[in-house]
Amino acid sequence: MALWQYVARRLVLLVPVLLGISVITFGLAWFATHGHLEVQYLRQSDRLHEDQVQRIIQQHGFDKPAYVQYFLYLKDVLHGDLGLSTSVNDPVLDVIKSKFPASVELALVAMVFAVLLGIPWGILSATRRDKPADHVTRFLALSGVSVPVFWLALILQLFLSYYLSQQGFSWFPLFGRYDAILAGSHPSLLNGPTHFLLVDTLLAGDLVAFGDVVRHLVLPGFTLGFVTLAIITRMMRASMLEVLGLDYVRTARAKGLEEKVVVNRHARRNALIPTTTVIGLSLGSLMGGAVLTETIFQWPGLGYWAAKGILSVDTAAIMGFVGLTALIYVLANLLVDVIYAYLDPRVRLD
Amino acid sequence: MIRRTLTIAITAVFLGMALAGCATNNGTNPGNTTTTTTSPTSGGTGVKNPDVFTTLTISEAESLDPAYDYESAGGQILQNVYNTLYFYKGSSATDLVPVLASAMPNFSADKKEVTIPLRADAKFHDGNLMTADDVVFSLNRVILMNDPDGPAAILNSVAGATAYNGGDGSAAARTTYLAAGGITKVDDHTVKIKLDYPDPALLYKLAFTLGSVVEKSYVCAHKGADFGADCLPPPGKTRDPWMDEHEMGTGAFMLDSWQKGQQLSMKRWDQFFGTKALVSQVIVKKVDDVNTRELALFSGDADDVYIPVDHAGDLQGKSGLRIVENDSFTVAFIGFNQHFCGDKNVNLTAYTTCMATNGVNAPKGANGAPDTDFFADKNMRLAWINAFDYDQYINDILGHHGSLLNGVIPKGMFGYDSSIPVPHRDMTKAKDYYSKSNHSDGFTLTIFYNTGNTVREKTAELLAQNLAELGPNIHVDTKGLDFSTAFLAAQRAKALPVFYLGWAPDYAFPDDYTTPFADSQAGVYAKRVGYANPAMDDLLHSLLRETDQTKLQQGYSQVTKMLNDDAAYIFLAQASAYHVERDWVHGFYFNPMQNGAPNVGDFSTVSKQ
Repeated sequence: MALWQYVARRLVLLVPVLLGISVITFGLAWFATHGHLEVQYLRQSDRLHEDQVQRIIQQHGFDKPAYVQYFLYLKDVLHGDLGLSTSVNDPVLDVIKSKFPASVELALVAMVFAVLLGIPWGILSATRRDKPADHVTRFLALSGVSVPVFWLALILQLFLSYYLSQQGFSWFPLFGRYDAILAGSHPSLLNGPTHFLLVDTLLAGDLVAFGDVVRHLVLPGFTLGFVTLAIITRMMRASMLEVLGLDYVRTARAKGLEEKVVVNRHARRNALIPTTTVIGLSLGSLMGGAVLTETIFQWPGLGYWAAKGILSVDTAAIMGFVGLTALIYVLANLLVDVIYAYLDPRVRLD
Repeated sequence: MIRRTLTIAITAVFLGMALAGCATNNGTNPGNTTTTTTSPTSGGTGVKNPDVFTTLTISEAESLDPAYDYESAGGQILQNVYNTLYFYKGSSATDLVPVLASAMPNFSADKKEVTIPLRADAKFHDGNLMTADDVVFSLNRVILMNDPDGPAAILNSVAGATAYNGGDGSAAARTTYLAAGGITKVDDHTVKIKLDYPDPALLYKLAFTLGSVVEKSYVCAHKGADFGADCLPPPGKTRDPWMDEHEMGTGAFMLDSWQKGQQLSMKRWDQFFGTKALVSQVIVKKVDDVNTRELALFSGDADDVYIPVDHAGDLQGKSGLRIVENDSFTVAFIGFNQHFCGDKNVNLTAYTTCMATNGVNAPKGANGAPDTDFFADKNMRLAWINAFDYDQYINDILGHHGSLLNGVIPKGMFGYDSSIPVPHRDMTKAKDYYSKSNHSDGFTLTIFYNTGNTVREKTAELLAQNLAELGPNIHVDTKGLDFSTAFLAAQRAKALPVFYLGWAPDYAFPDDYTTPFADSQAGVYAKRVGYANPAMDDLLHSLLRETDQTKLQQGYSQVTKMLNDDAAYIFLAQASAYHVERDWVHGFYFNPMQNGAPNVGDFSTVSKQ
C-alpha cells in the first residue's frame, strides 16, 4: 500500500491505544487508593479538620462513582483540558508544554552521544573481533548496562563539574538547564518561542546563551545516553558480525575491495537495520525514564514530574504523562518502521 | 585511522575516570569522600557573584497569592515581596513593630475595635502609593477566598468572618459578611477592624503572610471574567490564577521571573520605604538532591543551602562555611488514639464500618481481644509517657539537633513557662502506672509510620523497645505504610493506635498551639486523638478573649500544666533550625516566625563580602 495509507492507518490506531491506556491508568490509581483519589489534595492534611476535607472532596467531585469521575476527565480532555497537576499546582497541559522541550532536548543529546559513539564503537568491536579494542569496547558496553545511572551522574558531577571547577576549569555546570544569573540579561533563555533552548538561543542569535545551554547539556546528556550507548554498541557489534559473515561480503572482499570500503559501503547499512529498532525504542524510554538523571542534575523534565506524581497519586499528571509516553512510543516506532523500509528495499509496509 | 584513534582516546579517558572514581570512592556518597585538602575557596575566586544571593531549597512555592498560600516555601517569597501592617522585630517572636502601619494601633475600651494608622509613603512595585483601600481590599480578599486548604480561618475574630467561614459561601452570605463591616476604611490612611470578640493575638495574626497588602487596582486589572466589580472572589471561587504567579506588593524585593521547578528570581525594589536591600538580586532554586546542593555550596555557586541534619556530618572538615543553629517553633508529638475508629457512642455506624476494615490494627489485650479504648485509660498513657527514652531520642535520633519540650508551648513563644520541667524517662513510675492500667498483664499493638520518614521509623522502634521493658507479654512492633495509598486513609479513619503529629506556627501566640492540641471542639489534633476536658475548653475559650498580659501568661501556663496532667500526648521535641551558609554571607538573623527556615527568611539584610 502507499506510504501515506500505512501512516494514516497507524495513526488511527492511536485512538484505541490511548483510550485503553487511560482506562487502565485510572483504574490502577483508583484501586491503589481504595477509591479515595482525593489523597492528592490532602498532602497537608494533618492540619485539616474532617469537614474541611469533605469540602475539598465535594469541590473536586471525588464523591462521585469511579466511572463518572473517569468520564468527566475524558470530557475535559476532549475540550483540551488535561486537568490540574496537584503535585505541582499547575494545569497538566502547561506542565507538559514547559517540561516536554526540556525532556526532548535532553533525550536528543543523549541519543546523539549514544549514536555517535555507539555505532563506531560497535563497528570497531566487530572488525577487531577478539582483539584488545574489542575487549575494551565490550567491557564498556557491559558497564553501560550495569552501572547505576545515579552513580554515574554523581561521579560525572563530582569529577567533571566540581573538581574541574576547583582547578579553574568551569566547563560543566553542576545542575540546571542554564545559568540563572546569565538568564537575567539573556531573555532568549526564559522567554523564547519554542522553549527548546538550543533553538531559541540560535533564533535570537545569542551565541553566549547558546554556549551556556550546550555546556549544561553535556553531563546530563552523557549520563542519560550511556545506557543506550551500551545497547547500541552491542547491537551494532552483533549485527555487524552477522553481516560480515554473509556471502556478498565475501564476494566484495574477493573482488579486491579495501576492507574499509567493504565495511562502510556494503556492510554497515545492512547492519544498521536492527540498531534502528533499538534507537526508536530507546528514544521513547529516554523521554520518560530520566528520573534519576533529572533529580541529580535538577533537570526540569517529565520523568521527575511523573515519578512525584505517582507517589502522590496525582491522577491528572499520571494520566497525562502516560498518554504522552504512549503517543511518543507509537510515533517513534512508526518512524522506525518507515526508516526500515528505506534502509531495506525488501521490506514492504502493509 | 583518525576515527579509530579518537574512539580509543575517548575510551581511555572514560576508563581512567571510572577507575579513579573506584579508587577514592568508599562506596558511600561522593560528598563524604572529598576529604582532600582542596578547600572550597582555594580556587582563587573569592566571593562569587557578590551582588546576587543564591539560596537552594527543597520545596517550591505553591502559590504567590497571600490570600491562598499556606505553606513555608511560598511564605518565604511573600515575606520579601509583600509587607504586612505589623511584623516581628528582628529576632523576637514576641515584639512587633509597625511596618505598613505608621504606629501601634488604638484599641477601643472593649478591645473589639482596632484603629490602625497607615504610613503614607509605601509604594507598590508599579510606583503607586498604598492607601487604606488596598488594606481593606487585601484583608477582605483573604476572608472571602476561604479556600478549605488556605489560611482564612486565622482571621475568624473579624466581625462576620466566623459566620462566613462556617456558612454556605453563597452570594447572600458574602453580602452579609461585607455588610458586617469587619474591615473598613476610616480615611485614606486609617483602617478600622471590628472584631466579634477581643482577640489578643490579632496583630500577630496580621503579621502572617495572609496579612500582606496587595494593590487593589492591580488585582482588578487582572481579575478573572467571573469576578465582579468589587474584584473580590465571587462565591465558590477559591483561587486567582493570575495572583498565584504574580505579585504587586510593597516589599524590599520585586518578583523578577519564575521558572517553575527551577528557580525564582527577585530583584531589589529601589523605592522601598524602609532600609533598601543590600543585594540587587536573589535567586531561589529548588534542588532536590542533597549531594548536588552540597557541591553547589562547597563550590560557592550557592550562598545558603538546605542541609538536613542527618547530613551534618558531610560538612565536617569543610572550610568557608558557617553553621547557625537555633530553636525553631516546629514541634513533634505522639498522640494516643483514645478511641480507635472513633467514639462508638458518638457514631456507631462509622465505628463499625471502620472496624470491619481496620479492626485488625486495633490494640489488643493479653487475651488477644481488641480494645479500641486502650488509650482512654490514663494509667496506660502515663506508663508510655514515662517509659519513653527522651534523651536517647534527642541524642541519637535527632543527633542533638532539637530540644525537649516541657509541654505544648515551645520555648521562645509568649506563654512558655520555663518553671515546668522537661520529661525524662522514669521506668519506676512507668511500671507503677502500668500495673494500675487495664492491661497490666500484657498487650499487643503496632506503631505505624509513613514509609520514607526515617525519623518516625526510628522513633517507633525506640518506643517499641522502651515499652518491652514494662513487663512480660508485651508485643509492640512497628510497620511502615505508604502515605498516599494507606497511611493517610488510616489516619483519617482514626485507625492508627498512635498518631505522629507535627506543628509549625502561623502566628506567634500560644493559642496557635493550644487550640489544635487541647480544644475538644476546634482542635484538629484533640479531635483526632479523642481528647476532651471541659475544664480545659472553658479555660482556652476564656483566654481567646483575654487581653491582660499577666492573666494570659498565667492562663497559658495553667493550660500547659493541665494538658501535661491529662497525659494526652508524648511531647517529643522542638526542632532546631540548622542553617548553613558560606562565610562570606553577612546579615543573616534567625526569627522562628520567618518562613523558609532554615534558609534565609529576610533577604533584605544579607550581603556578601
